[in-house]
Amino acid sequence: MGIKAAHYAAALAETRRPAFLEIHAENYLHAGGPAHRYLESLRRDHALSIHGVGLSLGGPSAPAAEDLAARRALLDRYEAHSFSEHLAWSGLPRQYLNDLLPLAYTQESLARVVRHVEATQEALGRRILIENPATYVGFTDSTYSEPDFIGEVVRRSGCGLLLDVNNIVVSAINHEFDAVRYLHELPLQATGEVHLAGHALKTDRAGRPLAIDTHDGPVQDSTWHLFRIALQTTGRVPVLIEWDSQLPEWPALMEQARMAEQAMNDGARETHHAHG
Amino acid sequence: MRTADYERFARALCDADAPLPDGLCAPGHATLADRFAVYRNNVHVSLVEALAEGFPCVRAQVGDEFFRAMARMHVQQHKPSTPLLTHYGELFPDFIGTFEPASTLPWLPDLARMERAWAECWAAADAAALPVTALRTMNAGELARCRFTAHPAVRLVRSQWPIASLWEAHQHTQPDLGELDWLAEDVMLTRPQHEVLLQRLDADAARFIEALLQGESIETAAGRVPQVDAGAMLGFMLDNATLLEIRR
Repeated sequence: MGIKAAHYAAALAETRRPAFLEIHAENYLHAGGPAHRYLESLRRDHALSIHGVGLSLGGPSAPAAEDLAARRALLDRYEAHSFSEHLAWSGLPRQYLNDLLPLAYTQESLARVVRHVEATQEALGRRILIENPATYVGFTDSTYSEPDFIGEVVRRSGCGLLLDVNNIVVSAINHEFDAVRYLHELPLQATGEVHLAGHALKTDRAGRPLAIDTHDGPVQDSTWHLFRIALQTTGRVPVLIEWDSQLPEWPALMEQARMAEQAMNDGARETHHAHG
Repeated sequence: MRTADYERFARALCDADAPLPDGLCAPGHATLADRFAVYRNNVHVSLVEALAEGFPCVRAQVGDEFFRAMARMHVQQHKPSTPLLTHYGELFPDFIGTFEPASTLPWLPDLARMERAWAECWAAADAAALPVTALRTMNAGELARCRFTAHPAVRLVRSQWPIASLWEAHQHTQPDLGELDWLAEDVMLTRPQHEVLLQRLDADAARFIEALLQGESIETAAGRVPQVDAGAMLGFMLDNATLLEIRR
């Protein structure tokens, strides 16, 4: 469950415990005050993972030492069990653009991303997870497919995969590729966590479908379907429902979590039957 | 991708009139502009949203549509320097002061300054405030010479406009601005019980508190504003987590 300020009270009163809560690192990098106080009380009863959106690991320069130190301090303060970031960039030094931007997949960018991931793992003192992106454009210079590029980052840096199933569905629509084939080309054995979310479906001026990674509604059927396929390889994994805008009431979020649990139970049963 | 490629991509995101960066592709080239526009839109809409969250009272004053148009112009001129969006909006109050369509609401920049101060108070470091008992053992002479460091969460905003009353009016769903006296108001923001507390001050109290927060002695502060009851003011400050330590 991604935890937002609007849900602090409901989350504190919840008796059916989600397995873990996840926060965006950047929402808690300020020094103190009420947000930290709420997080401290939630942390008493829940495991916590931290998801970064601003380290810009796909960017032109390595994350600054003080930015890594700030995240290390946050991980230590809340004894978080996991840290994840994106295969993306989000601006230039001193100019933060607040979006997850795409990069060309070349030898050169691969070496750079691997260096950035290694520097981050070194500074945080742990293996991190890297999330596959949702993208709207590709690059003619790319010499790796996205899953191959991610596979190489995982292999060379030793990081894990944050499998964002909705991002695959979104990118598959936008770049007209086969989502199931892409899924199987990813290093699924390195999956440490799964993200599920909703997207918006539009058409562009040429009449082609354009999917936008909005996180503003329930998880779509196409994403649940791909998730069930992924589970056949990954087995049971920590799953996060990302619902970041047009927030529903807390019970609607809990229902999404229940559906994810159901998919994992069904998956375990199928595996059991298959083996025996 | 070299640094220059990143810079070109970023420039094209920030400036809607800039050409698309070279080397992009999408299935069906006719749609490339629409696809790049998703990124442009994400950047601007998300940063406008960050300002909308940081300045709810300014937004309520001018209405959502006006606010978003004003914020969008600011976003075009000033991007955040870090991903900590809690700190974004430092330059917005001054921008509002130069935004011509807002000039009919001359109190708007001060209202924005107060909301900025509110966010700073909210985000500031936790620290145990100087306890009420701290001054009990001092004699009159020691007390007069006593100076303090300010608590990290305290903020003082002084205005010739009724910024506290405007803020209070907008805490109700149907604010009644017709009731306002339109007198100057000063505001102190502190976190005495963890949450942010906004209190209206009269001008004398604000001057006295400002002097103490700037590190002047009680004696000097009282000399500047002889009409205030220094003892009562000091008690008020201690009760409201305004001070951190006695300066030696």
